Amino acid sequence: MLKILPSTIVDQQSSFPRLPAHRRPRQDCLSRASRAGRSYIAILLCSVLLQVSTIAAPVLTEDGFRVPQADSVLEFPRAHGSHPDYKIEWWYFTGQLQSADGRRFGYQATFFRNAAPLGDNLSTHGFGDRQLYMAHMAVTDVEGRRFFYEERLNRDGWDAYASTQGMSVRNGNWTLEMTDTDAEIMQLHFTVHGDAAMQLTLSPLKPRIRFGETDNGVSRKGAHPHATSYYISFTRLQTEGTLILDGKALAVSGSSWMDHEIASRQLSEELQGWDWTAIHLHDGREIKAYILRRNDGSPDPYSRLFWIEKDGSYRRWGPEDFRWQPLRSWKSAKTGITYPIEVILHLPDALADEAPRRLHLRPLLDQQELTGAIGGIPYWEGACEVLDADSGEVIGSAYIELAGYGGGLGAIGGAN
Amino acid sequence: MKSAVWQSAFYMARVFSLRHARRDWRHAATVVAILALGVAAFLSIRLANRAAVVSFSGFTESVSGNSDLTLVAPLGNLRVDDLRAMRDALGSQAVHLMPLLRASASLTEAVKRPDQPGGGREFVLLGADWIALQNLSAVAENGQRLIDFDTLPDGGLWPTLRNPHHLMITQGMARRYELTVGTIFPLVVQDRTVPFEVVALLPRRSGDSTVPENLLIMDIAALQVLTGQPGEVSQVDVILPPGGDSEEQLAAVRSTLETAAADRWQVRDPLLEQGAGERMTAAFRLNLGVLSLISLLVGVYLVTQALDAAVVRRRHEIAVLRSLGVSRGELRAAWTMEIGLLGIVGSGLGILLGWLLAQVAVVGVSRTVNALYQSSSATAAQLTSIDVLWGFVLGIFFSALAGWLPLKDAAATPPAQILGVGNWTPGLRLLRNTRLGILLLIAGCAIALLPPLTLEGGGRFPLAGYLTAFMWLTGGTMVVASLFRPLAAVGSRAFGNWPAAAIGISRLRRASSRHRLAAAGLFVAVAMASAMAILVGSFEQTVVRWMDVRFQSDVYITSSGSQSADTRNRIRAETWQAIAADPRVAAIDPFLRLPMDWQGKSTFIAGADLSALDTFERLWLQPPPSNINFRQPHVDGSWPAIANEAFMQRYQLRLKDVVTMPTASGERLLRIVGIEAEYGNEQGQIVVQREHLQAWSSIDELTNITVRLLNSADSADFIADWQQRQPALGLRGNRELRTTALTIFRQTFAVTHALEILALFIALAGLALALDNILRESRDQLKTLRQLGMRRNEIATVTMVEGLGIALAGLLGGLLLGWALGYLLVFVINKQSFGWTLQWDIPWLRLLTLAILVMTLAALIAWLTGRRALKTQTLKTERLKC
Repeated sequence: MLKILPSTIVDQQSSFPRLPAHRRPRQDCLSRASRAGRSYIAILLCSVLLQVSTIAAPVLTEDGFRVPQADSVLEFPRAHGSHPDYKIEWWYFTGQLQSADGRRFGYQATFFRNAAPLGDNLSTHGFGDRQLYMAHMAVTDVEGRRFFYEERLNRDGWDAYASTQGMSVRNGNWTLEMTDTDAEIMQLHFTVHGDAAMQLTLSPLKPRIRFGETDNGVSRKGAHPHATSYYISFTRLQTEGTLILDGKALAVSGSSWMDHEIASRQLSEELQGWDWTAIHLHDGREIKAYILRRNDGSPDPYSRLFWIEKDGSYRRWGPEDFRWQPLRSWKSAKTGITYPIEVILHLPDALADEAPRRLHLRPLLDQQELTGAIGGIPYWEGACEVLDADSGEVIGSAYIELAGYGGGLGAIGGAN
Repeated sequence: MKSAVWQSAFYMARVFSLRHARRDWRHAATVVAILALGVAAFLSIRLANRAAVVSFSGFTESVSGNSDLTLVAPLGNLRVDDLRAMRDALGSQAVHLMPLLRASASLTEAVKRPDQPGGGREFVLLGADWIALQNLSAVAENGQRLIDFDTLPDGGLWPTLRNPHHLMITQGMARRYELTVGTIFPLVVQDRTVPFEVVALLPRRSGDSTVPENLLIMDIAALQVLTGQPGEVSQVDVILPPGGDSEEQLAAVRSTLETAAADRWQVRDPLLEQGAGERMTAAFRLNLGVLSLISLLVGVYLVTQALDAAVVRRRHEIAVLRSLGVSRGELRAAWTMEIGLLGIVGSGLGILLGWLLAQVAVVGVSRTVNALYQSSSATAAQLTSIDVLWGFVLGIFFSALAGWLPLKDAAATPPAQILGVGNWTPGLRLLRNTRLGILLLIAGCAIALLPPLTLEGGGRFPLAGYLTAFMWLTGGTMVVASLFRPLAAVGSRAFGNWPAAAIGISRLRRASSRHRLAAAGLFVAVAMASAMAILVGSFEQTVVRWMDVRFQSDVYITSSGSQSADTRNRIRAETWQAIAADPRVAAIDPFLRLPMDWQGKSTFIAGADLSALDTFERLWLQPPPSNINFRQPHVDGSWPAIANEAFMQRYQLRLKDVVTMPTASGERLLRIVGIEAEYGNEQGQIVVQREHLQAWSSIDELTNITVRLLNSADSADFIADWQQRQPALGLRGNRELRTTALTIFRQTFAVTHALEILALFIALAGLALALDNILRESRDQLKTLRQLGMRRNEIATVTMVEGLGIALAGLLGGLLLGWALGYLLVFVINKQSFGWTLQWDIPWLRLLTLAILVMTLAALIAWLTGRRALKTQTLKTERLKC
C-alpha cells in the first residue's frame, strides 16, 4: 500500500489547471508573500494549496515516488529538510577558504539521500530500511598539495537521518543544521578520517534561488518526463569557521556554494554523465553551468548555463549558446580513469558586454578524485581558479565536477 | 682439546650407538616411542586448547574490524537511545560506532553432523549493520569488503535486508554442512526452528582477523525482528578512522564515553576483550596442560629405565673401551649425543603424533569449554613453528633428564672391575635417598596450604597445589622402594617354601636401582591414575547428589538450541507463559541467567523464583533464613540474593556481604543471604528474585523452566504434547535429564581419562623394560639357576615373583599417594581452580579394578619377560661357545 507522506511541496499541477506563464509565481510561495508585504491572500492561497494537495493524487514514477512538478510551491524553511516521498535528494556544498596566514583550501560536502524501493519494511527502531544516506566529504590543501576525502554510507536510523521539518541532516558525526531559519544560516561539520575536521558557519549573501526551466521552478535533466528536479541554491555563502589539519586549528573564511536538489529520476538513460561547475566571480556574480553528456559524446539539449546577477536574479542558456572545451586531462592512478580537468568555458554571446568571452577553469590540484569506494561511482570534484582566458587574469574561483567518466550514469537514479 | 673429545665421541656414537640401535632396534624404537608419546600428550593438549577456544570477541573482531573500544550494557542489551546518547556525547569526534546484536543458533537434527571433528553445534548469530559495514571496508587498508552487495541474490540489497531469514555463513561452514548460496536450512533460534536462506559466503579473512567458522551474520535489523528485540544491541564497537594522532584521539574518545556513560554502558578495551575467552578458560587449560606434563613425567621414568638398560647391556663394551684408553669425558660425550639423537627423533615423532591426537582432543576440550564457559568455535588444531619448537625442547629436555643418571652410570664404569668380576653397577643413588624423599613429602604438605595464583580475568591457578603434587610424586619415588623389604618379609612367610618364589623374593630383598626405578615408574602412574579416579569419583558423587536434590521436578525445559553456558537461545515470554498456564502444571520455577562482567571478571547473574524456595530444590552450603522475603529490599535498600560457592570464592565474599551490581537501570545493592552448591560453571553465579532481574535487564525471556505437574498429569504426555507444539523446545523428564547431565559430565572428563590410561600403559611398559634390565644384570645368576636344573618356566616364575613384588610396591605406594593426591585435587586444586566443594568419595571398585589390572598385567609381563630374557641369554651363551 503506497503511503503519501505529508510534503513541504505542493504540486499545483495536481490540484489546479496549469496557469499562464505570466501568472505563475517565480519564487516559492512564502518568499513571494514576504516580498509582497506578507500578503494575507498569498498565505491563504498557500494553505489552501497545501490542504488540497494532500488529498489530490500526485504524479508518481513507476516505482511509486513523486515526480517534481512545474509550478509547485515549496514551503520554507521546512523545504530545506528532507522529502522522503521523492526518491533522490542531496545537499551539496563547495567552497574555497583561506586561513589567516594565507593558506588556501577547498572543500566539498555532500549529503545524499536515496529512498529504498517502497514495500514491506521490517520497521525496526533505529535501524531503518527506507532510506540510504550516503555522504562524501573532501578537503583540498592547495599549498600542501594534499587531497583528503571520505565516503560514508548509512541507513536511516539512529546514526543517519534528514529531518522533514527543516534542514537537519546527519551521517555519523557529519552534520548539517540550519541554525537560523530567518537568516537561513547553516552550520556544517565534517571530518575526513582522522586527517581533517571542518566546522563552518554559512550565511547567505544572496537570496535563495530556485532554478528551473523557464519560470516553472522545475529543473529538467533529460527528455524523460520524470527526469526533473527541484533545484534550490544559495549561490554565495559567506563562510567562516575552523579547519583542523595536522593537529592544528586554523581559522578559515571564504565563500561557498550550496545546492539542494530533489528528484525521483535524475538522468535520462541515454546520458553518460555530466561536466558541471559553480563559479564565483570576484565581481559578485556567479555562473552555474553543466553539460549533460550523451552516450554519443554530444551535449544533451537540457544542458544549461545560468548567469546569476549580484541581486540574485538569473538568466539561463541552452547548449547551443555556450561551450565546454576540455583543455587538459589527468589520469587517476587509483581508478585508471582519465578526467578532462582543465577546461575553457565559452560564455554565451549575450554576455559579451558583461563578462570575458572565455573563462579558463584551472584546477588548484590535479588529484581531487573521489574513487567511489563505497558508492561505486568515481568522480572528480575539484577546486579551481577562474581566469580570463584571454588576459590570463584570475577573476574568480570555482568547483568543477566531472562524473560518468568511469561508466555511464544514465541508469543511476533511474527507475530501479 | 674439547673438539677432540667430541670428535672421538662422534666416532663412538656412530660405531657403537648406531650398531646397538641396529642390532636392538626394538629397544631403540621403544625409547623413541615413549618419548614421542610423552611429547605427543603434551602437544596435543596444547594444540587442542588453542583450537577449542575462539571467543566471542574473535567473532566481532572479524566482522567489525579492529575496534578501539567496546561499549556494553552493564546487564542485558543496549538500546537505540543509548546509541544516540553515545553519538551526542562524541559530538564531532571522528569515530565509527558499530552496533552489534548477538544471538545463538543451533543446528537441528536435520543438518548437524556430529561425526565431523571440530563441528560446534551452537553458532554465534551476529547481527551487524550490513550497510554501515561498508564504511569499515573502506577504512580497511586492504579495502576488502566483508559483504559484497553485488553478490547478493536477485532483488539486491533491500529485499535481502528486509527478509529476517537471510544470513551469511562462513566458507568453512558451507563446506562442512554442504551449504551453498541459495540453500535453505533450519536453525533453532530461541525456542523456535527457523528456516534460513544463505545469501552470501563470508571471506576467510576480514582485515587482520580470520573469520571463525562458528559465525553466522544477519543484518542487525533482521535479527532484532527475528529475536523480538527491536532497537536492542549487545555491544557497540568503537572504531577510530585512520590518520591523525590515534592515541590522543583514542584517549579523548574514551574519556568522553566514560564521562557520558552514567551507568548506561561500560567502556571496555577490546584488546582485553579479545583475550577474554582465553583468560576465562586459562585455569582450565593450564590444568589440562599440567596433567599432560605429568604424563610426560611418567615417560621420563620409563626413558630412564630404557637408557639404563642400554648402559647395562653395553657395560662390557664400555669397560673394553675404557681399558683401551677412552676417557670418561669421551664416553659422556658419546652418550650425550646418543641421548640427544633419541630426543630429536622422539620429539619429531611426538610432534606428528601430537598433531594427530590434537584433532581428536579438540572435540573433547571444545565440548568442555562450551559446557562450562562460553560458546566456542572449535577449529582444526593448527601446528605452528612455536609448537614444533616446544615439542623439540620438551623432548630433548626430558630425554636429557632421563638420560642423566644412566649417563653418569656409564661414565663411571671401571674397566678392571667389569672385565674381571663381570658385573658392576653404581646404582641410581638418587632413588636411594629416602631422607630427601621424606623431606620432599613433608615440604609438599606445607606448600599445599598456600593460596592459588589469580590470573588476569579472574581465573585461579593452583600453583602451590601442583607444586605439592610434583614434590609428593618425586619424594614418593625415593621412598617407595622402602616397601621392598617388608613386602619381601611378608612374601617369605607366605611363599618361602616355594623355591621359585623364594628366589624371586630374595632378589627383591636385595633390590637394585633397576628395581627401584621400575617401582618408581609404576608408583607415579598408579598414584596419578588413582588420584584422578578419586577426583572424578568425588565429582561424580557430588553431582549425583546435587542432581538428586535439584532435579526432583517432573519436566525441565530449555531451548533445544541452548548448547553452551553463555547461550542466548532462551525461551520467549509467550512460550513460557503458555506453559505456565497449562492446566496440568502445578507450579513452575522460571530461571533466567545472564552473563555479565563484574569487577573485571566474567560471571553470571540469575533470576529465579526464590520466594518459592520451599517448593523447589536447592543444595545449600549456607541456607538463607526461612523468614526472608526475596521480593522486598532490606531496610538499607539491598535486595536479598543467593550466590553459589564459585561466586563467593571468585570475589572473596562472605555471607551477608552487600555487593553493588551495575544493571541497565542503575546500580543495585545485593545482600548475599545464602550460599548454594551449584556446579553449572566455574565463573560463579548470583541469584535474585526473577522479576527483579527481568525488570533490571528488560529481558522477559527465560533460560530454562522447571515444571512440577499435578499428580493427575503424566509427564510423558506433557512432554510429547509440548514437543509437538514447540519442536525447538528441549523438554526432558527427570530421568532423562539426569542421564544427559551425567553423560555430559563424563564427556567432560574424557580427556582426563585418556591421559590417565596413557600414563598407566607407559608405566607397565616400563616395568617390562626394568625387568629385562634386571635379568640382563643377573645373567650369571640365571645361568647358575639353569645349570642347577631349573626349567625355563620356573625361572620365568622367579621373574614373575620379582615383577609382582615391584608392581605391588608401586601399587601400594601409588595408591597411598593417590589417596593423598586425590585429597589434594579435591580440596585444594579443584576448589582453588573452580571454587567447588566436592563430596569426598573413594571409588573403591574402580581402584580395585586398577589394582587387579596392574597386578595381572605386571605378572604377565614379568613372566613373559623372564621367558624371553632366558631364551635370549641362552642363545647368546651358545653363540659365544661356537
